[in-house]
Amino acid sequence: MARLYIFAIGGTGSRVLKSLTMLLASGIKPNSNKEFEIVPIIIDPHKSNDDLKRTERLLGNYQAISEAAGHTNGFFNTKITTLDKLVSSENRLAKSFTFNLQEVGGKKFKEYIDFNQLDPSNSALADILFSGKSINKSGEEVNLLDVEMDIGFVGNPNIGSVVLNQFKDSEEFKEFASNYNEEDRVFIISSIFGGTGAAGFPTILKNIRDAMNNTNINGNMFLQDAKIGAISVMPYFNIESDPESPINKSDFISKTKSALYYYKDNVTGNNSINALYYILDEHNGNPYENDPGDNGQQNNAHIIEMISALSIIDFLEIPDNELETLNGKASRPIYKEFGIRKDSHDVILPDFEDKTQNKIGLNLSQLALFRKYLSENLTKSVEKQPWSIGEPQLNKMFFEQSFYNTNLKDFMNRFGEWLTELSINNRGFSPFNLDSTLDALVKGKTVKSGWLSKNVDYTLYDDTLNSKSKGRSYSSSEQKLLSLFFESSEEILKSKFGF
Amino acid sequence: MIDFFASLYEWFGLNPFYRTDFGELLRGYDATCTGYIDSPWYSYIGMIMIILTSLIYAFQYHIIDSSGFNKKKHWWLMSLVIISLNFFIAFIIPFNIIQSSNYCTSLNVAVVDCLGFGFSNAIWSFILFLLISTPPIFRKLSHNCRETTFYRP
Amino acid sequence: MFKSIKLFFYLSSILFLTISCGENLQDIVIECADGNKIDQKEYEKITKFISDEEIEIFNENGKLIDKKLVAYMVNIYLKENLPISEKDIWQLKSSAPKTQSFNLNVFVENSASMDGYVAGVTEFESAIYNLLGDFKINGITNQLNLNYINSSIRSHKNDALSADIQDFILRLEPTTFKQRRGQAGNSDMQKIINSVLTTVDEKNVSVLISDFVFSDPSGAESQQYLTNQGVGIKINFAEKLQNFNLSAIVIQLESSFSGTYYDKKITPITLPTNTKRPYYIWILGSTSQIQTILDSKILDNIKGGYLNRLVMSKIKQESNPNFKILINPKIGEFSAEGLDKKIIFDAEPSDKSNNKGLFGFDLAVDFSSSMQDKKYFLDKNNYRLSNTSYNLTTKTINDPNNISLKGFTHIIHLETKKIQDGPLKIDVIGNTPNWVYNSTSMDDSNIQTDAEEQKKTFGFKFLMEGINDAFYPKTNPNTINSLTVTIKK
Repeated sequence: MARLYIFAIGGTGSRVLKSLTMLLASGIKPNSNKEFEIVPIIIDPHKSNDDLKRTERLLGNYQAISEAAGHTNGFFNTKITTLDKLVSSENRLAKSFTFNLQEVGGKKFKEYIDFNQLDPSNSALADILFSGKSINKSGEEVNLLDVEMDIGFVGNPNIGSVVLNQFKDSEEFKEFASNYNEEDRVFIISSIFGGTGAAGFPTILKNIRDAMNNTNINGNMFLQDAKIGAISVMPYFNIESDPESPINKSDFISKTKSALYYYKDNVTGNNSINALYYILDEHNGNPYENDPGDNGQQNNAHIIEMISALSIIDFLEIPDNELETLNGKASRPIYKEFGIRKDSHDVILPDFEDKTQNKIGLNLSQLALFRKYLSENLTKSVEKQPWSIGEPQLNKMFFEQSFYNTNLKDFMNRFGEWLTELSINNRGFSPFNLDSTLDALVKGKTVKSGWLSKNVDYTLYDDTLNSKSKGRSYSSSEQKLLSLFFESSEEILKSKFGF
Repeated sequence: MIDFFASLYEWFGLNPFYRTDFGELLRGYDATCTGYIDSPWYSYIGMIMIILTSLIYAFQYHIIDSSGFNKKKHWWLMSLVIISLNFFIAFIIPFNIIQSSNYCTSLNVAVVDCLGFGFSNAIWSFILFLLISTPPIFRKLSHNCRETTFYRP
Repeated sequence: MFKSIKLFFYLSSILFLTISCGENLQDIVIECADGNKIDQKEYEKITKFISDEEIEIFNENGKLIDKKLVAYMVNIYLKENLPISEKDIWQLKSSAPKTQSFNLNVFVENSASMDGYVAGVTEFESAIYNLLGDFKINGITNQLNLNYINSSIRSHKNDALSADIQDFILRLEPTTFKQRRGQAGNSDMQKIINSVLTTVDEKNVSVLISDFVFSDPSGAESQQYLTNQGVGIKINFAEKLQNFNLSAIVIQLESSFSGTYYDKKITPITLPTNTKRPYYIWILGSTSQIQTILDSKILDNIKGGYLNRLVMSKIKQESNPNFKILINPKIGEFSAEGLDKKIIFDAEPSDKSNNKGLFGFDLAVDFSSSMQDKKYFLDKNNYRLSNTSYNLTTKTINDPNNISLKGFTHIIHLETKKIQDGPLKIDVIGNTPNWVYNSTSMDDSNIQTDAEEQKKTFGFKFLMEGINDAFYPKTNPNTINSLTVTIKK
């Protein structure tokens, strides 16, 4: 099976990756003949970044669920693999998705570049390049050179670019390169205005295209001509202005501009990238909390992140012949943006164009229906309805095992959180009335009702589950749970909600 | 066929709920005490019992067929309906005959025999409902009641 | 869902069909009763239903017996309070040969012992007068020929009119009687009977009225005399029976007697005035003539009634009267299943304390077509059972409102301590009934004071046994009616 290596750089990378995980969990798949296995690689020095932690945990749940139930059930039907299947390296926590940046923990940048060893002319250059002020872990103002890097590069791509260059010499890159096949693809998620992402994207891109010159790896032609896509997320959120913090909003625009200039020469201008997606949104909404580091930076999910995840799906739909690369150069690079039908402040499904609605509307609603049933009606029906009693049984004991009780339940909670965060954000995305009755679940879709037609309630839901499971055989309880609910929710949405 | 139903209702001679003369009436002993030329009530009531029980089974399992009406308490509710209806039918038919004296009066029959026959019919209808709904052969055709029996869910 | 609804309707329709298909014979019979008449079309509709439904209960030897069906229908209408009786139901007219009309030759014994019966106005006179008058009116007889008889026949009037009848019997007094006696003498019973017997033929029926008291002309009154008389009578009758289809009716009546009685020694004894004494009317003729007389019911209407009646007839073949086995009352248990086929299935003795070990059942029998008097069937001596372990008792049916017994005349009750599989044959046999013995006197010397004796006739049994032996020789089975019930344990 072909692989898609996703490099999710920085906070934005984690959050987009989280959105992608939700979309994949709901069964959204690229419309292509080729099947792709996803290999996410998170690159973020800010280990205590909450977004990172959340994403990692989510990916872990997803993996456990899809491994237990298989990949043909509608939900969770894209395989997500960890890096450890490819690489074994002491540099990394076993079975995690994160690439651990070396020598970052507790070290000042000054030490990293061995500033004290530099000769006077180099140290003067360094001073200029890395001038300015920042704050350290305890919130005191320090010189940039003195900044400790385990909170990321706090919005300083100049530092980031230096540090992230170590990637090309790492074991991970070596293994990644040697495992890379002709049919595989690469996608890089980064924000243009942040610290880690802005620096990491061109660095990694360069490292991949430069593969032939890399003595660390065995000259792998495929990697040089890899089909690479990327999304560059431009400013979309607001942060509180805090004079104590080194991060401030007005810097976003200027940093974007300078990054774009750089890209013009080193990304788009030299045909390094096969497909580049741009996205941004007005950034005058609710400001996020201005938190630079340590257990901070937990931002609410934003619609832009979800749409960014859609770009990955889109990338996978592009046929191979349109992503031709020769000698490390893309023959015909593709550039894309995203449009919405209705510029509403609280986006609901009908506000999207048809293509987007068709892509995500039904599947997300299915997952929402699934979640709703599990949280509201499961206890009433377990061991009481034929779908639960029939073999393989979905009995009380099954629901106490880790598949449901740990992994799926946790995943569903995250999904609920994600939807809630999306809805309260600005611009918000609130396609569902999460706490309403079943028939009012999907905003913008009215339930067909009539004299003879049945109400949309849990009786109908159970009826559908029972009908769908009648006479069917399943390979395991886990497989049954997912595929049955996938089919049933699809049936209900199509017949009653007008999907 | 009448002998089949007769032995059924008379419990193969083991424990009669009513007197043998009442059984003669139900076999169709006519009002002039000539012979079995009157309506064979055993057959009629037997057929009604079978069909009615099947209908009510079909009603719950295949027509209503709802996930909200498939618990064992609903089965017991329907069995109550079946028992009551069948008791009533088996009671009221001979009761009317006796009340209107439209039978061979040399037979020793009384209203208490009608009650006994009603019980017998009620018990058989319950057994039939049990037999139809317990093995999966019929109920597996239902969508929502295919696991519904007298003992679960 | 729609498949289920279709199934639902299929089953419902079967349900309703079953209920509506419940037309039975009773319903059809009542249906046809509109207009309170059953015409040919309706009757045939009923018979068609019976053959379609294969109802065999009215059949005998595979053929529908209309009489049984009509009896059933009449019962139903009675139950439903519909005013339809047998005559309102269409029946195929049977071409029964009409009996030829006959002459009635009446012989009144007028020996001296008969004077007491005509003293004053007696039952004797009025009964005979009315009887003869009824014969005349009824039209079944041609000529009424009136005669007296003692040692010889003395014709009084041929082709008598009612005035003649009056003169013949009603206006009699001992003096007139005496006048018409002719040569008085003692009656030799056998001679008298025989003379009357010889007048009987296809066109002539004889009626003999007498007290039938034997008296030995020699005065000896020995047992031997009586026996000889009996034998002689037997031979006379037997000879007649050889070439003639003879039947005889013997009726015992009672009348006031005032006058002289002559005992066995021909000693005259004056009896108290208006002593009740028996006398007899005999009617001799062919079987069909006797049947016609019986059917006319003239004899049932005799003024003052009668005590006993006996009919004796040459047996051509035993008749099987209509009967049914009653489901109740019973002692013990049996099934109703085979009763219409005259089989008792699953016979079991009773385990109730008062009847432990007994098995018993009742038969309702229709003896109405029998020539015999109803009381004949009440005497268990007149029955013979194939299985002697059974005990038989009988009674007449008196309840006109009991429709289950409509069309039957007697109930025979049979009881046994030992049930045996197999047929039980119940025969009504020709026999000298008990009342004959009860009415026989063997010694009439004390008749003046003995009230019992006054009711008896001297030596009567010898007379009757003689005749009986002629009709029903002891060597023959003499079965008049027969019923067979099959018992199965």
